[in-house]
Amino acid sequence: MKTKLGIIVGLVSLGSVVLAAPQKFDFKDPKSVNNIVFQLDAPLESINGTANGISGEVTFDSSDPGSINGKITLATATLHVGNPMQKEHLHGAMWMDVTKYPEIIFEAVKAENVKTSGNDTTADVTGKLTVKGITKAVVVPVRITYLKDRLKDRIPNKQGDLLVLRAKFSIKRSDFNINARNGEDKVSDEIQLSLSLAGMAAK
Amino acid sequence: MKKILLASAAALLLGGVAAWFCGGRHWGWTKTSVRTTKIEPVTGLEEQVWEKRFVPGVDFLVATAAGGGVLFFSSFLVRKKNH
Repeated sequence: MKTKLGIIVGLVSLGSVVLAAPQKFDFKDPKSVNNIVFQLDAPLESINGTANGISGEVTFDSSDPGSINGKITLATATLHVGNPMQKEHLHGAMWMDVTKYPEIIFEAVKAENVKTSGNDTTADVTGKLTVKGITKAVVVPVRITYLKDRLKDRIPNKQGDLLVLRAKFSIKRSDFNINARNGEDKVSDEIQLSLSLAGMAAK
Repeated sequence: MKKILLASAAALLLGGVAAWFCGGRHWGWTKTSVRTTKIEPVTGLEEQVWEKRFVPGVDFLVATAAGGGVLFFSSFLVRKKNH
């Protein structure tokens, strides 16, 4: 009897350890919902656009959200604005030079000021942002939502968990040599970014 | 010929203004696609959807006005037929 009880207790403990283990979430979204919205102030109207070529992997432990780490990559060729001439300039050598620099990479290093309430965690994630081959350290306030067993609601016949990341922050284009010669009188130096990403960990 | 040029200038100018007015009176740049957002129900994320649509902007107005102006002033270079 004692042996059986011991085995049951052992299995339960092992199960909880397995459940609490860090999970890897894939951010290549088959539904192409994942996106980044960018905005720059300009005289006639602000330059607004999006990009959805997102991939990468994030490791998240629901029992230790502060240990979050991973890498998110954006394909620069997917940067889009509504005006075709602006898009041509945006993809060109002066701006994003998408042929030479096909990716923007954010690599999370550490999380601070971690606060968890239910499924939601907020944290200041410090990471390395690489744009046009220039890497700078940035601190991004991130809202993380862990949706356990909700993958099937998004992608039928697939079991697993979802991890939703939302972030709003800004960078300076002069820091990353993005048309650095163009003064702020024409286009603002600040680029406001808004990230809406969902990753999945299939079981 | 003079009359044709004047009529074309007026048509281009009025057509441009009419297209801009009917296209939403957009005071920004001309767009060939317009962004709309949808909420994804499971994650609550805002999905960005680009819809192909021509929205004439101020540059479109200026271009049609300039084209109309060129035609209008060209009409002065054409000699009137003597009857």
